Amino acid sequence: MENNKGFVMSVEDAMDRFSTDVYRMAYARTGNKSDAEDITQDTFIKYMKEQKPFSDENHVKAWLLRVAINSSKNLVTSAWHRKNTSMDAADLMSTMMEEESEVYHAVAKLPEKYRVVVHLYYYEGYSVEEIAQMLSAKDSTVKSWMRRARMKLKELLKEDIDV
Amino acid sequence: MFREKYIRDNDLIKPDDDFLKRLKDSVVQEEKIVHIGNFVDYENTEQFEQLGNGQDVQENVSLEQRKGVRWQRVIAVAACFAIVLVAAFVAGRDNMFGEENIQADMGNLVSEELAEPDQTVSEVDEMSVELYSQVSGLFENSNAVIYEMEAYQQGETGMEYMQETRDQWRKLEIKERDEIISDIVSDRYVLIDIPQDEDSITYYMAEFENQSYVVFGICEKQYIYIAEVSGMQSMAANE
Repeated sequence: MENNKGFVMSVEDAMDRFSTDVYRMAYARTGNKSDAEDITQDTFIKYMKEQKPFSDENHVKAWLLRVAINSSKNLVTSAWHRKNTSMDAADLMSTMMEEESEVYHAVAKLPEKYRVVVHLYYYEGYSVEEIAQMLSAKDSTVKSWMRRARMKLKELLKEDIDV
Repeated sequence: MFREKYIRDNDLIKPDDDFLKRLKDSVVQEEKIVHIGNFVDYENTEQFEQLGNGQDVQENVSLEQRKGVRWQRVIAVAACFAIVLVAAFVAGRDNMFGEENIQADMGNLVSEELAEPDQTVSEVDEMSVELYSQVSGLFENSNAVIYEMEAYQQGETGMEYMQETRDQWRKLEIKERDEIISDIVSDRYVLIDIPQDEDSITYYMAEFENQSYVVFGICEKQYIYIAEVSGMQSMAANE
């Protein structure tokens, strides 16, 4: 819905449209189902309270993903959290797939920051410039993270990672 | 292709239907709380029940009662203010005689600034080393890790290594720090991690015998971000 103040999407529509995307982002970051659910809920509550106009639907999605990333950042940097939660991505994948995915396993082993950029770039399809804007980082910094992530993935998967 | 496999794997990750239902319910409920505001249900107030026909709440209260209520409010506000003043005084008095906020200097790298009051220096070291050991494996081929590995081989923790060489360390000025951060992605450096809030890092640099430089930053009490600098001729020339 557009009005004079920009593109407005109700929170219900936003949840219908993007809850899975937000959940996947949160899961990629935390590797933990319960944390991903908490972050998803927090994200949409913030969206409901924000009530800001956006330029279009893509803008809404980018905003939601950014909030999810920042929410999960606060969670994973807690020292207590680091010691008391673990990446259960392997467990999840093994229950959801007949064959274990070494690709998802490998990404799950990357540092949190690299997992985020890998997810945004390879799954969500954002450009380096868009990712830099979402993460409030420099383009060159994101490129560096991508380069290091690919190096590590190449080492883990024993194959070249497409750019 | 990595991209295709990663997309395929992520497509399988979905939130439970139960969770989505709870999510909608909770957000909608939250929306009601935010938007209803401070509505007061006057029907359930005592004053409303005591009203006669045609009377308004204000009309049922005598002038004396209103004055009395006003003074009660004044006294209540004054009492709250007094409590706040007393609390602030007590808190301020404690700070005067509590631990001093000692700036980290080159003679004491692990200072009160880094350690909680009830933590020993060794506990801070262990936390820092634990974090570093978690990420050091990513850069087996990097010189920064080789530096640290050399220290480990000597039976030292990272902080002990730095403490022993503390005479060689100097705190970087903001301009130098900014120059280092801007060059991080040029592969002259190997950076373990850097937080978004770069201003919160205090950087130190040291020159070693082999003419290489090591820079490290202390951000939060438990984190150390390390980079190795090589070929810093421009900075050396300015010293």
